[in-house]
Amino acid sequence: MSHKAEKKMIRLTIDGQEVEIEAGLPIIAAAEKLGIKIPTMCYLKKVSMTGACRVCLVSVEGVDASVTACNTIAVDGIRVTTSTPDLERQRRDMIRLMLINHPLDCTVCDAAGECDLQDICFNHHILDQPFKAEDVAMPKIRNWPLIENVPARCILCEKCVKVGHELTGIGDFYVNEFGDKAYIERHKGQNTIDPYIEGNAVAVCPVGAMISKPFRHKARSWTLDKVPSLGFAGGSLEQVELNVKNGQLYRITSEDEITINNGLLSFDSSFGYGFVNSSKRLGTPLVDGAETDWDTALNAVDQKARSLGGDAVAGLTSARLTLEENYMFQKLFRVGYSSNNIDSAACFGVRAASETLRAVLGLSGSSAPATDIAKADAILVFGSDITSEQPQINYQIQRALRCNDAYLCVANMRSVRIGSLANLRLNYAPGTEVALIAAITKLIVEQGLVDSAFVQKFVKNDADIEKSVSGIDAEKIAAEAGVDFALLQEIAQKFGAAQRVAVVFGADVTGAATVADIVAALANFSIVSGALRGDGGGVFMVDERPNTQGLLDAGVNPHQLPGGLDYVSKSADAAAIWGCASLPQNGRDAVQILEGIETGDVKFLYLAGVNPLITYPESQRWRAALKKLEFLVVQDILESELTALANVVLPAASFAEKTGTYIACDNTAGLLQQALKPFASARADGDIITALLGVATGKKCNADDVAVRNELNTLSGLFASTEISGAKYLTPGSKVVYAPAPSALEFSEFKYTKAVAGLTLIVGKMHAHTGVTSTYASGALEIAPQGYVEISSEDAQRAGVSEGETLKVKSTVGSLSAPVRISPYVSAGILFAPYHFADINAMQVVPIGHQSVQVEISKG
Amino acid sequence: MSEIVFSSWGRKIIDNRQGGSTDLASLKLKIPTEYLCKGNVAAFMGWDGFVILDPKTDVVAMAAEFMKRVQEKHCCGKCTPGKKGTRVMQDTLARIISGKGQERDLEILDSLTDLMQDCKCTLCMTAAIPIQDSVRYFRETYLEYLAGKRTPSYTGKYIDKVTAPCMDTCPAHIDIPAYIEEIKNYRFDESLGKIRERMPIPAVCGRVCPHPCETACRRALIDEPISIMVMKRVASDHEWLHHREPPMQPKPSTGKKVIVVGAGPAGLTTAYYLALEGHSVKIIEMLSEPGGTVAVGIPDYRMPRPLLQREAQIIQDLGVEIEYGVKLGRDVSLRELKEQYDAVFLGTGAFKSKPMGVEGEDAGYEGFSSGGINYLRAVALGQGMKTPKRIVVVGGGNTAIDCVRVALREGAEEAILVYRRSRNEMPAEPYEVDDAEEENVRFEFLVNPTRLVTKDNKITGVEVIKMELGEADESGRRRPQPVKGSEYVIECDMVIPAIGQDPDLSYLEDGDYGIKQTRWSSIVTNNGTMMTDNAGVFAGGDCEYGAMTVVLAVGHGKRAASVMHRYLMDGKAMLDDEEAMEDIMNRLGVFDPDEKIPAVGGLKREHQPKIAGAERAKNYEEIELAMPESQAVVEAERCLRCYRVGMVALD
Repeated sequence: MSHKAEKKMIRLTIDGQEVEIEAGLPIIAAAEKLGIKIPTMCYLKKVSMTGACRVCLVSVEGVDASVTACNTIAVDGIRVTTSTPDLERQRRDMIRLMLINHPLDCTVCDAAGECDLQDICFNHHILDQPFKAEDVAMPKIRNWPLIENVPARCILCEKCVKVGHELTGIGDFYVNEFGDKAYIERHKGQNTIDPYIEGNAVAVCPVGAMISKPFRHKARSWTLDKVPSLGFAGGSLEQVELNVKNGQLYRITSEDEITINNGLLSFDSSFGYGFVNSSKRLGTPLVDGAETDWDTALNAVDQKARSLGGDAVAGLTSARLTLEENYMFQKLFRVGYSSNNIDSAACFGVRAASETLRAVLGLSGSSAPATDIAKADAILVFGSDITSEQPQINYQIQRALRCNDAYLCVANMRSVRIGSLANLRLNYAPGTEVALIAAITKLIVEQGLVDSAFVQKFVKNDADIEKSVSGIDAEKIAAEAGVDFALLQEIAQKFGAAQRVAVVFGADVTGAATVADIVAALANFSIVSGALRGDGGGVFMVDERPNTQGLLDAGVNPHQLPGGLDYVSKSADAAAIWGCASLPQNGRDAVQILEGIETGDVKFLYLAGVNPLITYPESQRWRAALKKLEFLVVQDILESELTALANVVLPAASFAEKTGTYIACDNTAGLLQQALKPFASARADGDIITALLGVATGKKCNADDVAVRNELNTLSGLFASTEISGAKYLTPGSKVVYAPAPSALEFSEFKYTKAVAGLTLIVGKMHAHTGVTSTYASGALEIAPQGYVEISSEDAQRAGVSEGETLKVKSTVGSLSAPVRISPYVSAGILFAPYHFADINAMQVVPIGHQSVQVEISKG
Repeated sequence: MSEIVFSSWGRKIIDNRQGGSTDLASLKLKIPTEYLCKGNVAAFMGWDGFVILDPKTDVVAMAAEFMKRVQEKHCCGKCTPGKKGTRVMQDTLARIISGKGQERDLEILDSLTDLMQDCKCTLCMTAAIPIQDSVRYFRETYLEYLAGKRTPSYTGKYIDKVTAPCMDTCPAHIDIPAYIEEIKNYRFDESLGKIRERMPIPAVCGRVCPHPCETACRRALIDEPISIMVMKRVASDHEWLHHREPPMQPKPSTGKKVIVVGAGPAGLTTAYYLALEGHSVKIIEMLSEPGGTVAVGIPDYRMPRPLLQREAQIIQDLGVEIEYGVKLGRDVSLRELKEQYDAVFLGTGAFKSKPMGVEGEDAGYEGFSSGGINYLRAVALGQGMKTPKRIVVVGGGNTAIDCVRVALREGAEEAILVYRRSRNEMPAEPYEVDDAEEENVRFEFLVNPTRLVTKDNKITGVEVIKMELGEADESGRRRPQPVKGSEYVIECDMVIPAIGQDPDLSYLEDGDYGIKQTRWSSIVTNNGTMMTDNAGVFAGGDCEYGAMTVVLAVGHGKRAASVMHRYLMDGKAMLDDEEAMEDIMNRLGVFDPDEKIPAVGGLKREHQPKIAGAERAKNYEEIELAMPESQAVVEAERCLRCYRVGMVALD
């Protein structure tokens, strides 16, 4: 349907040179193709045309006045001249106008050195100012979080307005007032619960009007080294430059066009990087609380681990470690400590989701690159606050909306940010997920909108589909779920008719008690809606961490070897490659490790970049268990309650201080590049783990990333190629691309659950924070300094609490107290608490195997 | 004061300062001499110069005031020369009239005007023109100020107004450049908000408006006009397709009660704006559903009724009550309404079919329809209208076209449209004629019915006579004349005359209301207030103007609501300055079809997709499909944003 398919090519002449471009582009794009640079202040290729600065004047033969190259669409046969004495005079006058009352504070302006206005004045030799006017600029706006706005410096290019509205969907800004008083203002009545600050506004500002408060007056831009790497939240979907100097990370920037993210930054990269420079960084190994050297610390760990050995030893790692590091982690335990008791937070749902996708669709995580989302014409975002969980996936969805006119359905228990842009919001009640997906799937089948050629070829039980859905009473399901039946019909119609469907699901699915059933249901929906055809769209399992897929691929769990290979049947192969006689049998997952500690069977626990006291369900149980351990090793970057409990603390390097592979939720691999030396004596996680393996086996191990990847690939065949590529931002190779084999897909039976009665607390991510590390970053803390519980006004009234008062929330496994925020974003019956904060420790009320939980509330 | 003292309008200098006289009427720009009852027009300053009628006018002071208003009230600030240039001009002029100017200030004003020709839109660009003119032709006055020999003496009043050729031509005066620009910026909700400031039924006017605005689109002077109507549909559909609740909230209750007669476009519009002001509004409607002629006169394949009903529901959600099946003059009298309510709005439409003037027309033959509008209504309301195999529709307007196309959908095997002129003269929209042709409607041009052919009191055909086109009549179309002896019979089972409608004002006959009527039986209202001679009784739409367009009815409804609000609150039925200026601008003529536009043309306008082929005539599914929003953005980017400011000085 997109009219863009019709684009033809046109030819025009610029400064005597002929050029051919796609119809519909402005003259400036044609000039760019010829390498002709037309000066401009406001042109930003990635947003809609603006034409604000009027500097890019050109003349077109036959047209009586100059026109602006940035917003005049080139048409066939025009002859353009980009520079004449008259154009240059007008251009200089335009710049002079822009400079009227512009403050002469370059000396203290953060933009100095990377200011387009400085450059353009310099390049055009602007030495005088014939114009004068009263200075009516608004005073500085200092009371916004994280951004300071200096209207006097603003040239009103509207880039900040557009980047938010058109690319990220976080439309924070608008032009207020008239005439010379016009300035950039933030929308009133914004979400005060969870205020989104468009960090990309700072990134696109051509002058010093939008200033990042965390960066303000910290460094002159030209003194910073820019090292290409990956964002610590967006991972390989977010290619960034780490701006460093003197061992500190000053800010994170990105570039347009040559990056996968087209220069767009996550909130975390814009403002949340401060933990790297935190005064709480761990810099020296500790044994029993005393500073020591690395050899002593490593030997203490090794001695204990090997003396206990086998089932008494366990390790938990995280998706913040690289692929190589996690690979080495599982090898350390299996080879070095004869223990298969290894796991991560993936145990609490992500792995089950992933394994379900593997079982029914043959997938290893998502089915296509995230950029395919942008090509979709219908997108279902199910159970994910995608804007918070994975901003870079959100950006791809936004592209689909604006460039491809995609239909968007957002199904969630809460009102999440992206819902405001949806065609249809399906607010489902906890427990109704499978039933609703089943109803929609049935309606697609019933309306005859299934791509039968695809289904016949690729679905092994295609004949069962009709029978399987025939018993589904969609109208009854709608009624029971409290959803208008017409809405389900609309969803079925839109997704059934769409050519390219993307299905995106996140934390509310992967954390649900019935994760496997919901994912299987979504897989069925994907089959009938055509999301697996592979021509755009796809199935996307999203997680907030940068390397969750890499963690799964590294095989850090008792059932799998790297590459998702079955542990039991393939362990001989692995043993052969790892040069050991055999691998340990059995093995405990995270829950069994906890139980083992409680029963006293597990005595030694090694935590690599993970804090179960805050991020694991039933966190109080973990707290008690950890105290029971004989030996606790904590490998982390920041001091915490956990490090105080540890027998040995191993200080690790942050993401900015190491190299390695992140594999994003869409299976895209990227390389972290080291921008800083590790803090003090800290070492990269991989170096620490490899050293321990060396000590344990008495053999020198190679910690080199390439060697580790090659070994991993020999075993797993995970990568189709292990060639490092990329001119600036590096890719360590690519995973095997998914394509369904004939008769490989399975349409499974829908397994219904009932709607859950009573109050449900959802514990999850809030956009400004990620994991626990961000609670050490001042930028993130400015948005959310402490934990809270969001509650509807109805429930607040019922509980007798008002804004800011303390609410007690009690579940079967624990209780918490937190200040309440009365919120329009949760409906009656739903509560939400972010999990990041030690102060409320929301995970203490969450039972293992859940992410939402039935609770009782009272005024605390 | 109908003599011009000085005019620089269009750079055609008329200078009678040293004697001589030029009649104001000779000017292309139609400037009024009086402003409401507030005074005489002393001068007009605007986008193409200025005109002085009163020799005492202080042009420099007026220029200073004009530029101040442009900068502080109208300049959007979104381009450098607009934002900064008009500020420099404002301050420079202020300096001059305060006696602190220097001669080089005059050069600044002159050179800035040239620089401002590079503005993003035409607002500041054209606002600089009269300033430059004033410097050029009133240099002595400036020099007197510079020399400290003069201070501003004028004590009259200035009234300014922003307009654009499209918004001026639109009978509802929607801020078209603003809503197009919001679409360009992917802000569809904001675009709809702009539309709703003047038009509460955008889903309707985004589909079936004859869009006179597009005939005044400056873009057409370099390539093709902007698809203004479709942009309105895009904005309106966006809210609907996203299941969004409209954001409007009525003001606190005023305690005033208003009755609106007729839930057509005029009545709905009046009700909407009155409800927003906090008045209690009830609509009585003789049909069983809202929309009036839009609902029962425009078939669903052009205007799906569920969308019209959604718009009516939005109006009801503001607190407006609609009672169906109540007809004025039959179920209730105007006298009763006057007694029970604080004000009355008559929006009773025009649905009385004009007679063809042929023999047998009122004989009550089976197969002779009482009129196209009645045929369409009976079909729309499912009133058991049987459409036979062969039908003939007489007329060349939209209603005639709708009748033949509906007849095909109602099972007619052949639908024949008979029109006395040729295709070029048809008042129907050309695309509708094409659409009808695509659906296999048969056209018989240059023939006129002369006699109904019947058998057993039943229509079996219609006798027509061939016509030829003669001299042009007052409408500019060539007058058709019969060709003697050329009669022939077209066989058919049904004849539907669709040659126009008149208002039915029989409800005025039960008392002496003092409401004047025109000779084509429409209601007379006064001076743009929409109030009849009966205080408190207002009228608008087809019953006021005669059968016209939806958008005119909306314009009437908006104006009526605005004046009624003043009438209800202050007891005075008066125009405010904004409305008075709106009418003045409309008289001036904002669009100049001879203008030379210095911009790069060559971009075709974007078209919405459409269901093609005769197959579509089998059902009432909407034919024109929604334009994808990304395509609408491309179309919106073509808009030249032709704003312009005008200001009158009163003596």
